[in-house]
Amino acid sequence: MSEFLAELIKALTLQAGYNTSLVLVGAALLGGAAGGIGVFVLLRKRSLVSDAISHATLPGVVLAFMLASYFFDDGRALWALLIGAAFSAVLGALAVEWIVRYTRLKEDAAIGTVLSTFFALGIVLLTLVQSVYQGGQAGLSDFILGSTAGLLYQDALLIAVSAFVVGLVLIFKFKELTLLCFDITFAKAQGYNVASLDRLLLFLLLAVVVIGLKTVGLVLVIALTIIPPVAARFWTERVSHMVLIATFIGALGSWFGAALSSVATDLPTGGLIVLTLFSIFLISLLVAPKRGALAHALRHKLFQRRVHERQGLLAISRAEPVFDPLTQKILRKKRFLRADGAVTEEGHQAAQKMARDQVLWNAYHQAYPIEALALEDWSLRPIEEVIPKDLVEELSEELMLTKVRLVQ
Amino acid sequence: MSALSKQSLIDETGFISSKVAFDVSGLTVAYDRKPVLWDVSFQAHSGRITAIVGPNGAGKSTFLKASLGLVPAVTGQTFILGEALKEARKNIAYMPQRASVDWDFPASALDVVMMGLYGRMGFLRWPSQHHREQALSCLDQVDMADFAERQIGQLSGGQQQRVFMARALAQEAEVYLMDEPFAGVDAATENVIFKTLKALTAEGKTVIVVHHDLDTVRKMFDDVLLINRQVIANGPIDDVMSDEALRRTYSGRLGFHKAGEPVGGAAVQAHV
Repeated sequence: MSEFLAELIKALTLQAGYNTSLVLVGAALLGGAAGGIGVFVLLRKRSLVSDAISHATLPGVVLAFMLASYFFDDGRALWALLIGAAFSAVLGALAVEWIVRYTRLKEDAAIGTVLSTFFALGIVLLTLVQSVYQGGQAGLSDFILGSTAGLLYQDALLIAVSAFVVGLVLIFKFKELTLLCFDITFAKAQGYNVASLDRLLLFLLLAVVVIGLKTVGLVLVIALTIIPPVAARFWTERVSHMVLIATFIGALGSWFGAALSSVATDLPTGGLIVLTLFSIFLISLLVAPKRGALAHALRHKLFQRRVHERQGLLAISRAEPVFDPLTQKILRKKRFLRADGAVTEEGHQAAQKMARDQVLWNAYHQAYPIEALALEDWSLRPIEEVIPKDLVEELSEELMLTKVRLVQ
Repeated sequence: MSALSKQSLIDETGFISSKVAFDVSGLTVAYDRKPVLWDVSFQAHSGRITAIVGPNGAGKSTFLKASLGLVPAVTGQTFILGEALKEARKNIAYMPQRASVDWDFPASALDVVMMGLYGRMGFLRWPSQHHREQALSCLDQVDMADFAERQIGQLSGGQQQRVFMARALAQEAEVYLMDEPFAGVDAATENVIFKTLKALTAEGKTVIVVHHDLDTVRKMFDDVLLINRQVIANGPIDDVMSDEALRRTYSGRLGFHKAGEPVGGAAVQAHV
């Protein structure tokens, strides 16, 4: 076990040899680019389309292999396979668009149809190729589940260049892409060419999917564009930060996953990368400070306790009995109630204070309805803690005056 | 108010002084060969606020969208201050319906208002401090400066509508086209948006509002376009909003004699 860890650390710190380092750097660049572009794909609600695109690459890969082995006698030339992949992916994307536009089918049905048909065609062609070409096609099936074993310097360079281009476009088209994702009619009305922006987004996605095919495989490459942005969304409320965080998560997860696979050589790279990304997603889901599940549960619990304590004390101030078991428990814990349910001296005092606080809150709500609406803590915390002191004084003076008037 | 506004339209010599800022002619829109709008021509004048009024499904929102080329039209032209639509984009501020966007989007109120400035920021430029201040002052005009940093999903419906209003303000356009800005908002928001729109017309801007509430039309607007697939009437409220015209807008069914041949007014009167 400790040997495994030692080797993993060696790989992670790029001390496990040239090949492993190349794979790690390549995977991280790919993961970063996929995470960055994935943010816009997610916000444009196109994550499923990318699934169709990645599955649609397979027939192109196999056909390109057949053509290349016929014409150049070298079926495994990577550039030929990638061009083939891109070509059939574009066909797949167009097919989805065509079905949605000219039939009554919804996008999800169109995606399901296109995805499975293209993949089926790819599998049939692949089996055909395997029986005809025997040894020459070895490695072709790597495109399905991915393998980093054969990653060459040129492959890594291709990934680096593509990642750089994707990064540049994201920086220079950030405003336009954000607008496209948030409010497409507004973007159109401003005169932006939304169709070409959509095409740009699709093109970037395509580029990432195609260069990621060999490393992660077509089944899992889609996870690189979906999981990092979804995880990043837990940590931020801004698009720009989300892009940075998703890029970081994508790169980190791919780096770590690739390092794992270099140590556990019999496990598939793509699967390890995706599982690593999923762990990051799970951590984000749980512990993110604002949108995370734990923070949410904690906030809800606190809120519930506040409401119960407040309502219980207000009931006491009106000399009404407290029936709710949770309210009773909370009041007892604070020693406002005795075990037999009788109100303690502290309880009476706290109830008095709470009643006064509530009257002030109500007065505030009447005097400043808009501001009260905007407050998240309206009538939940003591009013002095939430609004300025002079305003509280002003409110209580006004209350005294109305009381006097009422008495007269 | 409407007597005053009519004066501003016709000057002392009796000539119409305010110019046509928004000019749509012969607009026909069809979904699946079924006409939604038929041969709609409409002019709005600068310095005036116009309501587009009609029953549900009358094509009010479609009219706004089609006149701006946001949904395809079969035929029809739009001119903004004498310019064709393509050259006039910078002079248009369009405010879509609130429900048309996903408010869980990772953006603050300020971010959304900043989007109104994108058009003038230009390629390659990122928002600067100057742009931030501009956006903040727009938020301030709709009493939303305190909420600048809040994520838009945490705002109430009325506050979201005000953020949209602030974004339109940031565009510093000449013609403002608003799709149902008063739908489902609280009284305070209605007041703020209305005041903002009036201030725009006082500066000589043109404001066109799709409006659903017949009761408030007379109180709030200078001009009205009564529409139900076709134009029923268009002009200053006092001249146009007769009971007869309203009946034709709301209860008359625009019959289509033969496919594609509308008979408008005659058929309507026969029904009433």
